[in-house]
Amino acid sequence: MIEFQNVSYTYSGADVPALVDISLRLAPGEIVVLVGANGSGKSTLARLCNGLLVPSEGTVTVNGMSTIDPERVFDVRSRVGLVLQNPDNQIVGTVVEEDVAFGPENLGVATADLRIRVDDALAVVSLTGMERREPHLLSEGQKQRLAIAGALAMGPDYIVFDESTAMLDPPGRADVLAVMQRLRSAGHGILHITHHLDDAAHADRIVALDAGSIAFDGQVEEFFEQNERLSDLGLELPPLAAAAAYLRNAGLVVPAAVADARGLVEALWPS
Amino acid sequence: MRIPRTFGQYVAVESPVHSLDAKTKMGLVAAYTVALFTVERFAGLGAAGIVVIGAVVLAQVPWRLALRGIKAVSVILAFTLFAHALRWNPATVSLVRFGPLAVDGEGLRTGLFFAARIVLLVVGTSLLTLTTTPVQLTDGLERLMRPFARFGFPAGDVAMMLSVALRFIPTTAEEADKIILAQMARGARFDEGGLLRRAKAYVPVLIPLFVNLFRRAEELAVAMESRCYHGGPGRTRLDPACMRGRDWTVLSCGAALLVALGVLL
Repeated sequence: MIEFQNVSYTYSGADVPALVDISLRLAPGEIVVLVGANGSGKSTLARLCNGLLVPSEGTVTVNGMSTIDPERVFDVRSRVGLVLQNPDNQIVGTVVEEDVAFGPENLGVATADLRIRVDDALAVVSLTGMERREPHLLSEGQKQRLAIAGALAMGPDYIVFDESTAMLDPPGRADVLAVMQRLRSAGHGILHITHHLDDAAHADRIVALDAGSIAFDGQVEEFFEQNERLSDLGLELPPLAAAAAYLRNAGLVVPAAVADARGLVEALWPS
Repeated sequence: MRIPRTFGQYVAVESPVHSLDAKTKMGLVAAYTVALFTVERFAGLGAAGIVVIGAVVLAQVPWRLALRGIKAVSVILAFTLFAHALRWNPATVSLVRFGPLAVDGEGLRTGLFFAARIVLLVVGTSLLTLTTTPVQLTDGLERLMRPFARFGFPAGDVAMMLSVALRFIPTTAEEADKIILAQMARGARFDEGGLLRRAKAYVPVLIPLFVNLFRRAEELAVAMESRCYHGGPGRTRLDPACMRGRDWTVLSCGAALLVALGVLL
């Protein structure tokens, strides 16, 4: 469990806190989508999860370990993987397998185990066979999956995706979302930070940030029902949810959050 | 300004020389360089030449690439040769005279000796980069620097810096291309004017390139820290380059041969 308890964070030199009184939980095996406008504190929250930043007030614990404890820094970071937006800026190795091995190498994992971890991580993100490929020769989607493999090889319980689908084309994005589903089934807890509310369709829960505070934490369905609030939060309903909202206003009974167009059609005309 | 994508000059073939550990090759190149500078006779250079020719053949490197380095030092070669061979109004007997300019026999000999030494040095040392990938080189360097860690020298960090630099060369080249296109779309010209003007035209490319590099570096630091990089000891390697029995044999025999060559000839 990643647990935020009344966490506030102020960057040094800033007058206004970036995050105010955040209390939040991420359990293994769930996908939580975190949304909010630019500057609402999403990335700050991501960096608090693995102790890159430590709270100014309150506590963040990962499996019971406080991120402030200097002796548990590497324990915390190996439990919580972080995948960033631009895949180019997080790939360290000169070839694919070297990059995947970077995290466990830092942890001092023995060479024989390293090979197993690298092979397993590449298999999860479907990059098997590309071990010796140079990263700049991969597509953006493949690069992002490589970054996920790099986080996975550390053997984390949780992975935080900080707008990791923002720079990808639709197929690349679909691949990364599919990997998230696979990770959830394998029992990983996923925190997916995004601008796109359509990414929420696959989530178990949605958390919305507004100017550093939690404005909503609950079911996706429930969140979409309050569509008048969304524009205040700097968000926009995805087209499908917007269509559902119009239908509901017209008195039809359809779910507020549907995964795809077929779901909407079936709600209207059950076969 | 296209930065070559294939960095370095590594020739990807499988040969007995390629499969040697980078440290072995570095050791041999060091011994070879010392030998080259201690030999005093043409016979010595001849023997070194045979060693190099043998190595190039064994490494299956095309001669065109093996000799490419000579072109870069051609000015130095010409200068060495002429500085030794040419005399102005000499009192002694000369080989050839063009008015006051004369070619001195003894000087020509010395000039040829030094020029041959430079050629052998360039061809021999370039064989190292022709048969070893940059990554293997950095790994080898790290291992060689490791003893200095005891005196507080950050061997691991230096090796990591080198390897990250290598990793980002293609990314930076792509980015430079993009910025050049963007500036051309705004009317920048990179192909007119003299040397100075052309050089100045690159200023609007370099500034955004550097700004982006700093931004990249910051994010890379976040990514590396997230993956537990600490720069301290205790790092393991997926593919630890190690000296095998063959490496030790080649290194000791090769070094012995080169030392003998330096001492005897």
